[in-house]
Amino acid sequence: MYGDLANKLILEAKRTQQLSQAGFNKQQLPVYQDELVRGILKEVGSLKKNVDYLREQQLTDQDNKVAQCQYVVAMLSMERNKRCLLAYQKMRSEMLDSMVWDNNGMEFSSAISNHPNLSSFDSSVLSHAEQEYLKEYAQLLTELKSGELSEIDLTGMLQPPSDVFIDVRVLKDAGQIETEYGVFNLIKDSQFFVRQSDVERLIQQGYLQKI
Amino acid sequence: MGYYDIDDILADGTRFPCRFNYDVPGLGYLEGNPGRPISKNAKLELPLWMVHLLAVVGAQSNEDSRVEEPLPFVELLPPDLFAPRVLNAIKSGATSLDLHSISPHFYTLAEKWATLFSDKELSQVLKDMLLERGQEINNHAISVSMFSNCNQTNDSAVFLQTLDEFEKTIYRDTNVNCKEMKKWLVLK
Amino acid sequence: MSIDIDDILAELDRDTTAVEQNASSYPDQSDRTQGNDVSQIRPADKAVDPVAPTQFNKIDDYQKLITHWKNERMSPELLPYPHHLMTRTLIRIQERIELIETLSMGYLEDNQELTVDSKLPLLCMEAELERLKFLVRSFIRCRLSKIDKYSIYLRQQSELPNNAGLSRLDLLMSKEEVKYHMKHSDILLKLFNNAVLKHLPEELQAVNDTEGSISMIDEPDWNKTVFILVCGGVVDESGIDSKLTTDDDGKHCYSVIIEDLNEEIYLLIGAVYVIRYSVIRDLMTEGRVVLI
Repeated sequence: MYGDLANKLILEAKRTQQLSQAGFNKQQLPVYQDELVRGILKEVGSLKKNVDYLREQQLTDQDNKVAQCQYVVAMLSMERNKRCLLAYQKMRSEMLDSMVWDNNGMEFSSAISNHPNLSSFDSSVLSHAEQEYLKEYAQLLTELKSGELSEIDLTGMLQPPSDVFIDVRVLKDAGQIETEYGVFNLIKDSQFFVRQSDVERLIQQGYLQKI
Repeated sequence: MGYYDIDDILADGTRFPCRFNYDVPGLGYLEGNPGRPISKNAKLELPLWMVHLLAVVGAQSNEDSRVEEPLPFVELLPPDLFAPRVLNAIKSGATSLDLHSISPHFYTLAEKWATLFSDKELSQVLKDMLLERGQEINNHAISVSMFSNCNQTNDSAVFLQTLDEFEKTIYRDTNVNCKEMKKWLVLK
Repeated sequence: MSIDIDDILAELDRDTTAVEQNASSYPDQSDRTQGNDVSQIRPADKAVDPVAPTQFNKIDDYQKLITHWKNERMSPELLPYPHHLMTRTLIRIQERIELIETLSMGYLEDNQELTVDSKLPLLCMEAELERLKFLVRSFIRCRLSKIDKYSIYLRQQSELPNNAGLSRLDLLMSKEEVKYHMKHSDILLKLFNNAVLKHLPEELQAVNDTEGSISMIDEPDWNKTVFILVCGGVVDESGIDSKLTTDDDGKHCYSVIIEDLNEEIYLLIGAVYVIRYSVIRDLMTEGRVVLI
């Protein structure tokens, strides 16, 4: 039945949405359903043939209700497929967007694997077009951040700042960081009293935990 | 409800019973019999996205009474979803109703249906139901956040399974809001 | 905002001359600002602002920014960008960052013990700066997410015949936002095209099709329910609030009409209401009510 494949795709989209809402592994997007998408596009192709045939036969005038009905059904099925495909793609692109924002616009090349959250990111779960989109969006974000608004750090904390200085505990070894107060050695389970704005980035990335 | 809204798309996929007003060859696959025609007065279950328009198109020519009035292609039959027994069940005990098993998208579908047929009774029932169930959802959401260290009681878990998608979002929002409110109160 | 801090700083900095020197050396400020001394960090009136020749009080500006922030967060649509206010605010932020840097360097040079106490004024300045940065950040992020959400709708609005091309977009958004909007919609459209649309038949390739069963363009939800506070206090040149009226009890209020119910209701000054956005939209743009 036309639209069945599309339903499968949408169920997959819904599942992805639920997973991300539940907070499981926010960084992971499930693999792009290339087969399903291709199947749906093929379906649209054959529907299009039906539609063309009906038009060709000039059966879609007022008198032939039957042909009109067939025509409408075919058009509706095509529109339904289109809607499902686009909704699936849009949902994925929105997830990609939020990943870029959360990671401060960092490039997602496989070379970057120091990041604790990104270590499991596999760009092969994305389609080719999505990979390109990701690169371009990351670049767009970098450009935006370095404009006149560079000082306010658009990807910074979206919680109101509380204290200027905070206690943090180190969750993972992260080498050394330099602040104007000196150099800190970030060794696992050590604690420091530092300025919040300095370590904001590291907290976001998961290296430090605010106490 | 947007074009890209996943829940709306899923709701549109729900099947509704309808009756064809014409013989239509070539659409047999809708019945599961590809290649065979659909006969007039055949009853089928079709998804809402298809039925929505088919039930309306053809009706436009009805305006012109001088011409022979063409019927819409299909006629939507009253679905089980909004059958009197369901409405009665809602009226008699909205909070104990397992809405999810009736339809996971009950509210969305009821909204669409009521708009399509200007069904005042349905919308009234819906409003009352939301009011009652909303309070119950609120209770559960608050109590879970209060005792967040304890495991959810059985009652709560059972109740949650009876919610439809719309109610689930309400529940989630309430829960999150309560937690944040408590955090803020503590800080103060 | 920080009158006390400035006083404390002024006292503290009597010894260090670094601030005084830097004050006059702010490169792009020198033409436009007057009075850059520490005790009164006031940005001058902007030559670009043709409307008000008065000095812009930074406390008022801060309040205005907060109001814009609240309205933007609660409103379902993208509100116009407050260009002048934001320019002033960003300049202030920049000035403050430079000031803090200079001051803290002043401390380091003196080899003072870097205890928390001795740097208290600096900390206060920093804390305040962080709060302001947060405000601007939250405001811009909120706007960006709305720009993304309604990107086709906004584009469509800007192309309406009574608007000259992109001029409306220029008013509605900052330069950076316009750039972001254009670029993002381009790359998103490219993604949709490559993944889906170019494989579809011609008549289905549009992304702004409104003729199907559902319009593809997401419009803001004009009927969204919002909380409002009726503050009033908007007067025109003659000092009168033209929309102000009185209800049966003689209390000051605004009168609005709820179309669906065909009812006229009175919104009392100082009261809080829960109401549909479309009903109070005009009042909000005029500043007579704020969203909370």
